[in-house]
Amino acid sequence: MVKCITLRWFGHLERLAESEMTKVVILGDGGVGKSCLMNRFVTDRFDEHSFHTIGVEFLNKEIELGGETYTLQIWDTAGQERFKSLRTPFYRGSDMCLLTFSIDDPPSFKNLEMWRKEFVYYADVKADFPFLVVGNKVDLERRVEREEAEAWCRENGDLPYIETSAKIATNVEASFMMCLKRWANIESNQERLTMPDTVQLDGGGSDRRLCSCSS
Amino acid sequence: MGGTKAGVWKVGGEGDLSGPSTRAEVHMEQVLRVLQAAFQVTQDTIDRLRTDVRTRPAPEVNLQLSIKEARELRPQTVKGTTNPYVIVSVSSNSASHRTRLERDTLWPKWNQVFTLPIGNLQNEVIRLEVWHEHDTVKMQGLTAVRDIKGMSRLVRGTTAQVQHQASHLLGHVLVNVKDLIERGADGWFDLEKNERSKERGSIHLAGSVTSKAQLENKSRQSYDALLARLVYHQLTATKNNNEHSEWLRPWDGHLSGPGAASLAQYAIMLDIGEAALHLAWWKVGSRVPTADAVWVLARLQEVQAAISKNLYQDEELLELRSSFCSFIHDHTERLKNLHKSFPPSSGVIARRQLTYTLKALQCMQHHAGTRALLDQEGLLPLHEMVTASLATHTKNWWTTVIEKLRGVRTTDQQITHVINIVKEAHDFLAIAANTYDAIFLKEMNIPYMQTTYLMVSKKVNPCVRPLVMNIYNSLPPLGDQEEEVGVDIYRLDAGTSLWELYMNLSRLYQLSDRLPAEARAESGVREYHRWFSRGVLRWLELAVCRAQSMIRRAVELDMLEPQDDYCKFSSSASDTLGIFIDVKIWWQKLAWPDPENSAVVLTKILEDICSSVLTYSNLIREKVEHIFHQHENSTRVFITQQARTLFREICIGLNNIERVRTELVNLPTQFGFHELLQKIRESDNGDAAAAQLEPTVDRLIANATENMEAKVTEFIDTVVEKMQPTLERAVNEACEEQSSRPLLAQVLDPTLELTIDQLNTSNFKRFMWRVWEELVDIFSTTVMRNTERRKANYFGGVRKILEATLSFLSPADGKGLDEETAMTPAYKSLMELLENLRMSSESLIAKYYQERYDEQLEEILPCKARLYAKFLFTKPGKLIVEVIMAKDMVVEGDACSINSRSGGLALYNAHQPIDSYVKVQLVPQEWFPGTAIFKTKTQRKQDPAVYEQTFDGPQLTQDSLPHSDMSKTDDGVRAGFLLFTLKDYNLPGFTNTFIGEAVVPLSSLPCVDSSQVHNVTHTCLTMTAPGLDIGYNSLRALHFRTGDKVASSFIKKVSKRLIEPKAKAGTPVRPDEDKARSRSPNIRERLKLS
Ligand SMILES: Nc1nc2c(ncn2[C@@H]2O[C@H](COP(=O)(O)OP(=O)(O)OP(=O)(O)O)[C@@H](O)[C@H]2O)c(=O)[nH]1
Ligand SMILES: [Mg+2]
Repeated sequence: MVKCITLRWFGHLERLAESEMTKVVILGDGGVGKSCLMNRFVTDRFDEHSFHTIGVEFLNKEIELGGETYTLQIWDTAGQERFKSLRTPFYRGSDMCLLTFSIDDPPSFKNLEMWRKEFVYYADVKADFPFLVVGNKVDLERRVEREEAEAWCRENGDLPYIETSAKIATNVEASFMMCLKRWANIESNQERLTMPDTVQLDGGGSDRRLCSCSS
Repeated sequence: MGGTKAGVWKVGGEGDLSGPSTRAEVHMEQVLRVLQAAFQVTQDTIDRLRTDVRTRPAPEVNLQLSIKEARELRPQTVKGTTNPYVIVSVSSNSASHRTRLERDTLWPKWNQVFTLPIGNLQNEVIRLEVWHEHDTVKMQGLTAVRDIKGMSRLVRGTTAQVQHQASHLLGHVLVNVKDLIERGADGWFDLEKNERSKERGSIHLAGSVTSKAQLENKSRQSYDALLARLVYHQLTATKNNNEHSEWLRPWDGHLSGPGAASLAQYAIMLDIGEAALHLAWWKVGSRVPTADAVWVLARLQEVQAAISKNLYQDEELLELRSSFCSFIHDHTERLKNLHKSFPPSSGVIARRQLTYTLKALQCMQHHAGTRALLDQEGLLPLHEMVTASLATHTKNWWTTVIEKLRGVRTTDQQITHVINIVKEAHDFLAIAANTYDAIFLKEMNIPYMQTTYLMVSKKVNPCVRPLVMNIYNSLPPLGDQEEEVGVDIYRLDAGTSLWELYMNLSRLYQLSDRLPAEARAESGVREYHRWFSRGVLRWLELAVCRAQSMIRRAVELDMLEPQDDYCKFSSSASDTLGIFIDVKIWWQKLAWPDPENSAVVLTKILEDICSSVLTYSNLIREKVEHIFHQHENSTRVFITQQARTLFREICIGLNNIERVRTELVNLPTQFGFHELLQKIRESDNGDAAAAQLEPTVDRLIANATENMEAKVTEFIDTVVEKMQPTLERAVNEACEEQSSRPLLAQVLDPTLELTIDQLNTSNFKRFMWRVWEELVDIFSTTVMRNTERRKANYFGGVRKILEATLSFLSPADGKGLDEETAMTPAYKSLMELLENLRMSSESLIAKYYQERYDEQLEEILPCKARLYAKFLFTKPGKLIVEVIMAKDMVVEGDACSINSRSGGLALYNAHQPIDSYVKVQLVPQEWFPGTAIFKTKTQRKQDPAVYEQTFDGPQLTQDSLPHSDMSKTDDGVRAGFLLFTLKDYNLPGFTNTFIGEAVVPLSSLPCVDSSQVHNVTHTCLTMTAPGLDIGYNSLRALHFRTGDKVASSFIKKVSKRLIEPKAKAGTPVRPDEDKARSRSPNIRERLKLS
C-alpha cells in the first residue's frame, strides 16, 4: 500500500477555536466541600485542610462527551456569608450550576433553597435552569436522608440528584458529567430547533467519505 | 514677671532689681490715675475725697523703714575700711534707733527694719547718721599700717580712744517721709557732712507707711478685692488696646507700674505675709480664664508649696479648697466646650494653654495636700472628670450636627446631609487627632482620639449605613437598557453624591490608622466599604455595559489607520485601552480598604475586562471581514493599489487585537493586584488566601490571552484563505513558467513587504507561517494534479521553486520563518515526492531496487528462502554468477497468494517441497538492453534445492555501466542491480508462483582476475517479498505515471508481488484517496477535483 502525503495544520490553534467553553458555578454553604469537589475533579487531589474560599476561584477542565471536547470553566464560590455580595456578580453567564450541601450537615441542606434563589436572581436565568443537586461527604455519617433530598429535588422542578464524596472520590466526575450532559442536551435541542439539518448532513457527509476511502 | 517676692513689686521695668538705673519712678499722681480708672471714680469724687482727707486729723501711721545697706563709705581704719552703724531718728520724736555694727567694710549690709511712729506724713523728716566705731589698737594694727596715711589714721584713732571718743560720724542724711514713699518705697540717698562736698557714700533705704487702724483690721479680703479690681482693669485695658488678643498673648500676671505700686503699698499697709499673697494671687489669677496657664500653674505651685509647709490657717485652707474646686469646675466646664475654649485655630497658644491647664489639674491630683482638700469635696479623680467633659463635648457637638438631619425626608437630601455629617465628623476627629490627642495623652494619659473616634464612628454608622443599604436594596436590577436615568444618580462614580459619601467615609476611616488595631476593629465605620459593595458591583455592571458600547462605537469610528508613525495600531485599540485606564483610575480612587475583598472585586473587574477584550477582537474581526466582503470582486488581491489599502487595514485590525492582548497581560500589575496579594500575605492565613487568589487571576488572564490568540490565528486564517486564489494562481504560473518569479517577485515579495511594514513582529511571524502552510498545501495540490500529465523535468522545476520559496520566507536576518521548523512533515513529504517525480521511470525503478536492497540489509521482512550464490566481475568486466542452492523456502499458505494456481487445487504449507527455479537478471532492464535473463533448471520437490549453475553475464566495463538520465549520485542509485528471483514452477499455462527475491547492487560485486575466481566465496542471500508496511517512494511516483509504459508495466509486475493483507493485494491505492490526509475540507475538495 502506498503511503500518502500528510498535510497537517498546526493543530493546537484550531483546537482552541473549536472546543466549547462552558461555565459551571458551584454553590453551597461554607465548608460543604465545594472547593474539594472541584479540586478532586480537576486535579484528582483532596486536601483535608482546605482553606475557605475567598470570593471565587476558578479552574479549567477539558472533558470529552460524545466525541466532542468541552472546556469546563469551573467557578468555585465562597459559601461564607461575608462574601455574599462579592460572589454574586460571578453568576452571570453560567451554563450550569451545582447546588451543593453536605449530607452530614442538615442546615446546609436547608439552605439549598436560598442558594437556588440567589443564583436565579443574580445569574438572571429562568427557574428551569439546569441545576444539579449534589450531596457531598457521603463517606461521613448521614444526617440528611436520601429520600429527603430527592423529595426536595422533585418539588423543585425534578432536579437531578447525586451523592458524592470528594474525599474518597465517589461520583465526582460523574456529577460534572451528568451536569454537562444535561446542558448539552438542552443546547442541542435548541440547536436542532434553529438549524435542523446542518448537523446531520455534515456528519453523514464526512462518514461517507471515510467509507469510500477505506474500501 | 510680677513676682510676689517679699511683697515688693518690681515696677514697670523689664530687667532685674539690682541697679538704680532700672528703677522706674512711679508718682502718686500716676497711681491715683490707675486706681481711679480701676475703680472707675470721677475726678470730682477724687477732689472731694482729697479735701475730705485734708480736713481730717492726720491718721497716726507708722513708717516701716528698712535700712538696707550703704556704699562707698570713707575709709577710717588703718586697713582702709570702716566699722559702720546707723542711728535713725524722727524729727517729731526724741526716740532714736541704732543698727547693728558692721566691721571692716565700706559696703555694709544691715537689712534692718524699724517701725517709726510718724506724726505728720506730709512734712515728717527722718534723720539718719552713719557712724564709725574705732578699733582698739592692737599690735596687729601696727603691722597692718601700710603707708603714712594709714599711720596718721592709727594715731588719730588711738587718740580718739584715749579721749574716749569711741565713734566718728561718717555722714548723715535727712529724708522726707513723703519723698521716700512717693519714690516707690525704695531708693538710695547720698550722705553728707559739714557742708563739705566730699563724697561720703550713700545709703539704701526702703520704707512704707501703714496705718495702725488698718493693721488692726488685718483683712486680706480687701487686698484681694484691690488685686481683682486691678487685674480686671488691666485685662479690660489691654483688651481694649488689642482686640482678639486673647489667643495672641494670654495675660501673664502683668500689671501696669502704678497698679503694681499701689498694690505693693497696699500689701505693706496691710502687712500681708508671703503665703497670704500667694493665696491672693492664686485665687484671683486662677479665675481669669485668659490667664497664661503657665503663669497660673506657677501660682498654683506656690500655693501648694505653702500648703506643704503648713503656712495656712484653717480659714485660708477653706478658701483654697473652694478656689481649687472652682478652678476644676471652671476648667472641666471649659473642656466641655473644647473647641471654643482652646480653639484649634489659635495653634501653639491654645495648645500651650491646654497643656498647662492639664498640668495644673494633674498637679492638683497628685499633690497630697491639694488632693486631701479635694477629697473633702468628694471630687472624682480629675482625669475621669476630664474624660467625662470631653465626652460631653463630643456628645454636644454630635447633637448639633445631627440636628441638621431632622425633618429631611427625601433620600437625596438625606444623602447631602449625611455627606456633610461625615465630613464634619472627619474634621472633628482630625482636630482631635492633630490638635488635642497628644496633649491629653501626655498630660493626663487620656486616649482622647481613640475614645472620640470610637464614639463618633459608632454614631456615624447608624446614621449612614441604613441609608446606603436602603438605596442599594431598593435599586431595581439592571435591565437591558444601558442607562437608567432615574437610578443613575446613585451610581458610585466620581462626581456622584454617593461617591462623595464613600470618599468622606474612607477619609473618616483612614483617621483610625494611627489607632491600635483593637480600637480599629471596634470602629463604627470599619466596614464602610461593604455598605457600598452593591454599589461597586453595580458600577462594574454598568461599566461593562458602557465599555461594550464604547468599544462598539470605537470600532465603528475606527478608520483602521495607524495613529502615528510609530505605532502599528489604530484608534479603537487606544480607545479600548483607554476604557481600561478609566476603570483603573476609578478603582484606584475607590481604594477599597480590605485587601481580601479588593482582590475578589478585582478578580471580577479583570474578568469583565477580559470579556470586553474578547468583544473587541470579535468586533474588529467582523469589521475587517466586512471590508473584505466589499472587495470580494477585486481580483489579484494584494497587488493592486486598492488591494494594498485593504491589506493595510487588515494588518492594522490584527495589530489592534494583538496590542490589546499584550496589554491584558499587564493588567493585574496595573491594577495593583500584586501589592494587594502582598498585603493579604501579611495578614493571618494570608498565604493560603494569596495562594488561592493568585492562580485564579493568572488563569483568568491566561484564558483570555489564549482566546485572543486563537482569534488572531483565526483571523490570519481568514486572511490567508482570502489570499488563497491569488497564491494558487501565482504558484500555478510559477510552475508553468518553471520560474519562481510569478510567485516570489510578483506576489510574495510585495505582500510581505507590505506586511512587514504593517504587522507587528509576532503577527508577522504568524502570518508568514500561515502563508507558508498554505503554499505547501497549494504546491501539493498542484503537484498532485499534474502527476499524470507532466514529465519528470516539470517536477524538478517545481522542486526548485519550492526550495526557493522556503529560503525566501526564511531569510538569514531572522525576520521570517525559522528554516528548520519550516520544514514541516508536509513540506518534507512533498519534497520527497517531487524528488521522485522528477526522475525517469528507469531511475525510479532502480531506486525501487535500491529501496529493496536497503530493506534487505535491515532484515525487517520475513525470510521466504535462503539462496546461496556467488557473483563477481572478472578483471575486464565480465559478470559471472553462480547459483548454488536455495533452502528454507516458504510459500504462503494463504490461498489468495497463490490464486493464480488452478483455483486453489493444491494448498502448500511451509516447507512443503516446491518445484523451484531461480531467475537471474540485471535491472532496471531498460539499462541493460539485450542482456539475457538466466533461469536455472527446475528442481522438483526439493528443499534444499541444489542448482549449481553458472552464468556468464555480459561484458560490463566501468565506462559502459549505464547511467540514469540524471546524475547517478544525485539519484543515490547505484548503477544497476543483480536480481535473483525464486519461483515455484507451475503447470504450463499457469503463471509460476513468486516465492522471494534478492537484489545485489552491481557496484558491490568483487572484481578479481580470472585466475582468482575460485577464491571468491559464495554469499547467502535472504530472499524476501516486497513489504507491505513500508511504503516505497519510488513506487508511489511510478504510480502516477499511468501514461508511461515502462512505469505501468513495472507497477503491474511488482504489485503482484507486494504482500497485501487480506484480499486487497494488487489494488494500488491512489495517494489522494487516503483518508488520513489533510483535515482541511478545502484540500479534500480540491483533491476530489484532481
Ligand atoms: N469527609 C469528607 N470531608 C470533606 C469532603 N469534602 C470536603 N471535606 C472537608 O470539608 C472541609 C471544607 O471543604 P471545602 O471544600 O473547603 O469547603 P467549601 O465548600 O469550599 O467552603 P467555602 O470555600 O468556605 O465555601 C475541608 O476540611 C475538607 O477536608 C468529603 O467528601 N468528605
Ligand atoms: Mg471553598
